[in-house]
Amino acid sequence: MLKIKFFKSFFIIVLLFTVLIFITGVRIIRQHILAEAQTRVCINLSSAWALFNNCQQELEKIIKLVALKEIIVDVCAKKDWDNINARSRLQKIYREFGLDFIGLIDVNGCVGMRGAPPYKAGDFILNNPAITKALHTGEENACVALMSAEELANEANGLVHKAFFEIEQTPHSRKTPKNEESRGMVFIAAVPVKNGPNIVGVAYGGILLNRNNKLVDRVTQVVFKGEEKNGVPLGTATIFLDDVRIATTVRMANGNRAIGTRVSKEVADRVLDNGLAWVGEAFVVNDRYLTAYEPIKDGFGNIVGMLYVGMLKKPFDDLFEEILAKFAYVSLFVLVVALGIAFFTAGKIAYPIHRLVEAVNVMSDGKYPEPIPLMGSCKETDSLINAFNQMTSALIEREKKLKALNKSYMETLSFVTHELKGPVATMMNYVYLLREEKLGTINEKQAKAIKAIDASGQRLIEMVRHYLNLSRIEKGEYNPVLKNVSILNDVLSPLLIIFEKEIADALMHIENKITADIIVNADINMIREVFENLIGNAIKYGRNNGRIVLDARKDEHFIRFSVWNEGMGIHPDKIGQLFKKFSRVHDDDRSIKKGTGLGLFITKHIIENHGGKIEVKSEYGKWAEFIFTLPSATVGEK
Amino acid sequence: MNKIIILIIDDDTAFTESTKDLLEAYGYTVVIANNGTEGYRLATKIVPDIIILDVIMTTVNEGFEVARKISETTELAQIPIILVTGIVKEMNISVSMEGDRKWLPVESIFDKPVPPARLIIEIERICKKLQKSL
Repeated sequence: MLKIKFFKSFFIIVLLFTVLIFITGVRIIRQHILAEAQTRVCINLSSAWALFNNCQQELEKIIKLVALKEIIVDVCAKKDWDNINARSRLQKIYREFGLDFIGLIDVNGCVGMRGAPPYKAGDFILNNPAITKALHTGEENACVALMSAEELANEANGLVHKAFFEIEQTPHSRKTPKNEESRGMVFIAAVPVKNGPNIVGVAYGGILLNRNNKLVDRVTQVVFKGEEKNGVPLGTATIFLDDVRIATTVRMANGNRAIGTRVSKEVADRVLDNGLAWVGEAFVVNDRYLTAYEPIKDGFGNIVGMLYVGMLKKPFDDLFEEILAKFAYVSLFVLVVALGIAFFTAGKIAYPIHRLVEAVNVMSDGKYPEPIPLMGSCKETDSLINAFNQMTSALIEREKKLKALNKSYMETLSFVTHELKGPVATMMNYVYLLREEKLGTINEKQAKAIKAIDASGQRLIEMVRHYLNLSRIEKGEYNPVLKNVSILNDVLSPLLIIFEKEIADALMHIENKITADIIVNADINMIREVFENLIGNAIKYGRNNGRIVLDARKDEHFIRFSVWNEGMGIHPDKIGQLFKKFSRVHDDDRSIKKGTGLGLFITKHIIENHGGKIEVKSEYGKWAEFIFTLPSATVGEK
Repeated sequence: MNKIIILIIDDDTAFTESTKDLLEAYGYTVVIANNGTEGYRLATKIVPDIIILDVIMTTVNEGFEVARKISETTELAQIPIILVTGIVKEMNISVSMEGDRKWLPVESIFDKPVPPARLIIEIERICKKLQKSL
């Protein structure tokens, strides 16, 4: 059906667009969320840096407090390195502020005093960026520095042990022969000790970052508020020495901090070798994280490690899934609505066309359809309907005119033929008198002439009858008045009297098998017409000396009649036209016996008007048989 | 046996003449009337044995009126009427051969033109009937 076809097309289009929009939407949402997450992780990294730097500044302030003490200035100026008060001062600060080491250096870089056991002195610190800067420029400063195990051993007991760890073998990391790390990454602050304008020494102090989880814990506390999701921290922070984790909140499967594990080669290459930031998704121990890495530089500007911040990706995935689900619901809803509209629209488009097709079918049956109402669905179909309606009304109008014209023509025809009846009747009376020699004997030539006049007169009568019947059929006034009619008594007997002479002239033998019990329910005049036409044809077109057989057989509701005659029969090609108006099947070979071409047309009309059927069978050159049915007599009526 | 008198009432004079000749040739006495009024008058005067009546004369149903008038006249009521007409089919009358004693009081109805042989057979049939009833 048209509607289904339309709907199928709409369905495909709607589905296609919905899927397309859904895919596009999903991609946009994903990109948006990812971009948002990366912005967030970058901001978080900035926060981590702020804490990182703040820690150094605090250290610097503590050391500055030391450098400004008079006793310290005195000790440095006088190189009184064994001063007990000064040392206890350093010890106090070392303990109070939780420093890992603290000390004083003279202007040559030689350590004069340390505040942490074993209180070693007399060694030189020449390659420390903060101390070097303080000595040479007189500026107080703090920075990140790497210290060897030896240097750490000089500073305080336990530092070497605290700094040392074995490097875990980690997949995807860089290949390295190293399997242990003994160096320490430190925050170190150095402040010049000034006696008036003169620098008399440098006070320094530091914090070891190896295994120092306070800083990273603080980062996660401040930046991520220590939140967790299903026991997994939302945020993680790590300090790397080179590519090795030295302080981290990331925990391994066993719950221990992932110290000693290494970063992937990809990140190490980008951040450590090229000094660039790395932002992206990474698989950190057990979960996926959105991560950011930036290089940590020491006081000389060398890249010595990395600062890392990562956010658990799951919340973003959850958010994405949630939005996706909502989006999917909305899309589904829109799809359903769109399909509903498509179905409705398909119907609306198809309906007028459907109506038009119906109307055309009505027309092809020879009837005229009711005007189709305008649907208002679209301009094109409306104008099509309009055009169709106009065409229909024009056709109806034209048919009316034609009918009127035909009617007036038929009335004229009817009048003229009717007027012929009187003169023909007169003529036939005299022809009959002459033929029957009632007006005196006639010779052979006269007999021949009279016979010709008689035949012509018969033809004239037949024509009058046929044309009157035609005009009645055309005017629609030819309706049967039903009555029980005995075919033999009411129809055949009178007819055969009329045909007697003709049959005898043609030397034909008529054989009537129709008995008196054959009674039909029909219009007597019309049935008489049927038999007159068929028997008349059988005589007209039958073979001289041939047989004509009339027969009837009772069926359940109908009686089946047959008029059979020997003769030329009917050519198979002409059988189809036989019952048409003005058909002249025999014109070519028997021009003498011209008919009106209406007899069989009228016969068929009469039989069909009685609910019967007529057909013809023939063996060309041998015989012809007309078979027709008429309704049996109704019971209870005469 | 007395000669059978047939009254022909028809305005078509050529037809009435020819029918008169035809019937006279078969030994009948024929009287002609050219309209309904005259026909009725002649009928009452001569009391024919058979009347041949045309439907259409001066008015469309003059023949019917004459037929009814004759049947309503006591002394004419028994005369068989043969209605010869061109309008049987036009009027869709299905009374056919028998006629209808009340509505159309005629013996038989024929469509014009009646084949002469058929008319003679019909008249002979009526004559036999008349002779029987006599």
